[in-house]
Amino acid sequence: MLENLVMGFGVSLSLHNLIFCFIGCLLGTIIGVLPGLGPTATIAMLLSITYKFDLASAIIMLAGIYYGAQYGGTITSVLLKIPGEASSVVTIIDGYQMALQGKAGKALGIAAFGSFIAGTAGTVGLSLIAPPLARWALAFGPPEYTSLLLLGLTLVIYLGSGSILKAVLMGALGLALGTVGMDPVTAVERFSFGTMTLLEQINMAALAMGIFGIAEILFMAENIEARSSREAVQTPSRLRELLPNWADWKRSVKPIGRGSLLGFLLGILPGGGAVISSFVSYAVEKRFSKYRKELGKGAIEGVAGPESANNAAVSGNFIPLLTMGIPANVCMALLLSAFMLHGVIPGPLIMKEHPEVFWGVITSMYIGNIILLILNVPLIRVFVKITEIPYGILSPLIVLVCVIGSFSLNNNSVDVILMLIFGLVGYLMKKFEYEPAPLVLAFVIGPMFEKALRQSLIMSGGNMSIFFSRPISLILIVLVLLTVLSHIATIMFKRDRTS
Amino acid sequence: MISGFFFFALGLSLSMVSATKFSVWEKGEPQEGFFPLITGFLIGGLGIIVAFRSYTREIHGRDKIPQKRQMEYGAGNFATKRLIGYLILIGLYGVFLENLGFIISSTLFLTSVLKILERKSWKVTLLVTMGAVMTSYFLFRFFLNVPLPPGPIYW
Repeated sequence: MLENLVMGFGVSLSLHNLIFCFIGCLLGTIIGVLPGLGPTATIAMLLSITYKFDLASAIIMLAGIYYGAQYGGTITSVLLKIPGEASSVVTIIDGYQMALQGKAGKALGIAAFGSFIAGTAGTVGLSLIAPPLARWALAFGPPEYTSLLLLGLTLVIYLGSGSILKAVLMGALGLALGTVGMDPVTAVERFSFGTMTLLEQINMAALAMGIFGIAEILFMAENIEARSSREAVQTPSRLRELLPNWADWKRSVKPIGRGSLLGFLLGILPGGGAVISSFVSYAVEKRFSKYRKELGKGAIEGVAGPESANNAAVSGNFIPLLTMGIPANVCMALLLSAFMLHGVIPGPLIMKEHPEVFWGVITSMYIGNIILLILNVPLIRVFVKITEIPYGILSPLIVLVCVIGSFSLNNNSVDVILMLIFGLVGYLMKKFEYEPAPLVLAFVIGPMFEKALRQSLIMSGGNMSIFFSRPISLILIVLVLLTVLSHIATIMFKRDRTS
Repeated sequence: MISGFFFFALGLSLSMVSATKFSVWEKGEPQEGFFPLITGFLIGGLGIIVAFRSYTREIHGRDKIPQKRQMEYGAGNFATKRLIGYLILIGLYGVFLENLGFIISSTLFLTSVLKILERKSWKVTLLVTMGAVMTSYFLFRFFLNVPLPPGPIYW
């Protein structure tokens, strides 16, 4: 193991590959900041160029773009309430509130350090236990996925800070929105009204930008007091005061630890990844954190956990790709294409036939995490300046960025119109006190859940016992029941105490 | 209560469309209408519960809008007009983006918002508009190679 790591560092620490890693991280951060672009489109655009480089350098750069984008998405989530990446949606809940309280630097700082720790921990996990974990992931079939995703859906009850009933209603609405488009099993058109854009499903980025970003602008247009409070906030000017202090670190250690573990394990599962892991991490903090009552109002745990989870998930994503050649998501599929362009098939033999590539990529992820930290922490002081721009000037600029981001999804204005419609929906949701996070979670999980559920029922001929006869699925269903029952018990206990 | 009834109606419509337009269950397997039907029932059922709870709270006087929240929403008509102005301008921006192109539509949008809604001076309006439009156009179009709608002006 040590010899392999030394060999890997020998590859990744060459000047050539350090430059590629830096370019990947920088580009990834920029892409992550700009909503709607995403690492997928960037990696796809650069795929053909990487043919000119050697395989290790190409993968190092493309991987840098992928995990760099996870941090980049945090910046706009915290400062502007626009999720730069889907995995940064959850960070909005507490991160934006922290920015409104003048603590944007602390949110960005803990996100940077948490991501570094989680990314490094995930890379260690990747180095040490990749093959056995990959085999565990293979044990997941449609029934196990259905139960896992059902567990994910029950987490909607933890995502809202207000009425649970309204949170569940938003979850149901998210599930309904996820049915728009082509049916995943029979390919029948559902609720697409004849438009190509809707046939490919509502784009998550357009929905998130609308429901968070545009809705916030409309809300602030009407709410003079909120605007004045926002503009009255003073942010510290010294970097030391901007960054998390000892008390913030004390509160963040456990969320970072929990987020790292959850993100890594969920990242291994195909279809899991950074988005779901960030939501799960938030829900876990809501359940187990000592400061759970503060979540939703600017608690640092609400940033530390999810940001760690989404970065750890990146490392987890690489496990099925490198060890079995199975891409966990679209980005990994593009990386698989990069391997194949160079005539290499990732899988069990890659460690033997191309150890310099395997260990070079893994060790470059250690280095990439350090580069991201060095790149972004000093820039926090610059990023935080955005909060000092008068909101009257900032809000139309946010609209401009969102419009560009949504247009770039499919190069047509239907996504822009959709985003604006969701902006209006998000504004009305805010007025009637419905929270958007449960809707977004259910929207992400819903299509995967439906597909897995129907595949399972096809396998069993319509017999629901398939979910109870398989051990992993049964354990997950028991966890679902325990989650729901424990929440009900908590509510009843609180009611007894107050009465 | 209004939102509760809205969701009840939405859920009911979704269930009815799913049940009539799509196949729900065939040969022991769920079909394309199955999931929308279930979610429709869920939305409708939860919507009616929300409406009922809101109604009972109103009866017991627990759902009055606190004075503080009443004051937050608009100092008179100005804030409401600004909201409506944003809605109209953002809507027009989206509708005319492809026809007029990115540069013209963005310039018109930013100028209108900054000058009319946010009441900035002409100097600030023109500086911010030109800076934002040019920077974003060059950044996305040339540096990141993201196609933007050209409209009548094509570079």
